[in-house]
Amino acid sequence: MMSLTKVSLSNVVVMQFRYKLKAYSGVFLALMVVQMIGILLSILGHGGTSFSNGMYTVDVTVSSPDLVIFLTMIWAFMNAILITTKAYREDDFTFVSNRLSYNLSNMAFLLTVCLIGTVTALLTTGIIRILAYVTADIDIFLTITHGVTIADFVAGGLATFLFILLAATAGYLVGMMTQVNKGLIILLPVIIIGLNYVTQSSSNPGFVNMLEFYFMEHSFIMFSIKAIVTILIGFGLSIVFSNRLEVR
Amino acid sequence: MNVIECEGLVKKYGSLNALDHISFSIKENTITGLIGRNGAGKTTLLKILAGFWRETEGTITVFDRRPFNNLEVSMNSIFVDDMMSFTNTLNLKELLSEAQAFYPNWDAELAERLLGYFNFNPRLVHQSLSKGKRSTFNMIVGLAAKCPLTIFDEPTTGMDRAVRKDFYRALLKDYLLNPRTIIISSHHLDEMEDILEDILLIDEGKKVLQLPVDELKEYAVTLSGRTAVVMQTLQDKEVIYKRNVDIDNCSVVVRNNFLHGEVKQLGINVSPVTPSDLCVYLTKGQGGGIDDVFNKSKSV
Repeated sequence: MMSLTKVSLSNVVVMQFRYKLKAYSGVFLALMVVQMIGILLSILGHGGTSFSNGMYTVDVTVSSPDLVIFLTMIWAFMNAILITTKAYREDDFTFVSNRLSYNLSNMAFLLTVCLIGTVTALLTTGIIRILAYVTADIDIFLTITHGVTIADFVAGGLATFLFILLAATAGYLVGMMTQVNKGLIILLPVIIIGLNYVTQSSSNPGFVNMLEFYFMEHSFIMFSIKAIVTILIGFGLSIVFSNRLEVR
Repeated sequence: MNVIECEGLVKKYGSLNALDHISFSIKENTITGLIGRNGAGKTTLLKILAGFWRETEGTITVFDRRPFNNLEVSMNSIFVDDMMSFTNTLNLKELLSEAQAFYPNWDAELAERLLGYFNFNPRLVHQSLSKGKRSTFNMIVGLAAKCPLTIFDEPTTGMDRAVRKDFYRALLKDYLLNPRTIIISSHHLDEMEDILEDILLIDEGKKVLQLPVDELKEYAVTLSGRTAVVMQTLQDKEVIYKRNVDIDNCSVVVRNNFLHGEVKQLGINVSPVTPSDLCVYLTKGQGGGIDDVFNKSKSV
């Protein structure tokens, strides 16, 4: 007689996670393409101002990886949707899986790729500076180093990571909801825009408020709490929604 | 010990009952053929067994557990069909080593040898394979996984006759070496009746019968002879299917639960019915044959 194999959830999640790192390698290619486009656009269209006292004109050009980070957020959003689709799900259920292990391994995967996306996005700062220096006609090259502590740098990096992860969570939740019920593809924007319209008033500009809730938070600690709670709720809802999903 | 217990299982799609109060059990270490016409509910039943789909009503247990969303059932069973999805970023050889990580009983040597025997280029990706090759590769995964419950849903789709024969033989040999519970749904019952132990015949979501193949071979006989004589003998018999050859002669399929001597004396020819034909007769609707569709004058 063949004896039954006992399983632990964590073992299966780790196996699925490792499988995903290999199987979903297209995600990394997309990341490279997106960030290269971000770098090019940053150099071509950098924002700037001009001062003049009649005799001298000072052109100030600011280069930053903001655009790259923004594009990385879009990449995270799209990829999170992508991995909830039927084709990707069926890959999982070909081998050992249940819905919880499927979700948990997806989240571990998203966490990992978002971390990689954050690191590479931040590293483009240097590339953008060098390329800006090489391509533009620059006399004085200024970088802010004074008063920037390691703690600030870490906080900046963490905030970037949380922003990208928020985008991934949003994508994952949207993707999972549409997998559970195709009707939600239409309902979801209707609900968001509708709610926004209903709650709008002079003191509450609606949708803008929702974005401000995250983007205009000046306290790093507060932002982290908001972001982490949102991410946990988003992933939690995805697990609940997909737990009764029929697969294959 | 029963690996599968199913009691009053119902699966609804809207108002349609794909499975309609079906009850059966499958013993450990047997090969069962799941037979039925197109749309009889075979795939629905197998997907519920594998834990992919949810039952609407009734109880189903696999290894004493409800299969839906059960990790232990998933670990100890494999579902093979022609829609198995593999990533196209890994080639066939890499896919096999990934599968090895998931299945504790994985037989890497068997997988490798079968891959070689069926002339696979291990550097190809699954999507680039032809339909028959894809089914063959899926079969290799199903065999090498050596799961205590192995489910093949129409595993021979697209395979040519030679590969189908090889598949049945490989399955039987591997089963003898590593007995396990295997369920195969197929339309080629005549080809695989030699490897099956039991047959579960379903029609329109209901169980028609579940019998060992040997009993199914004896289940019915065909009586053929002069129509008038044959009709006379039918009174105390269970008629399964009537086939009029012409007005003078006819042949009728009946339950084989009577002594053949007396009908033979009347000049009626008694011949056996193959399990494959019997399954078709047992699941044929009352609407006559395909000829009636084309025979307009008759239907008017």
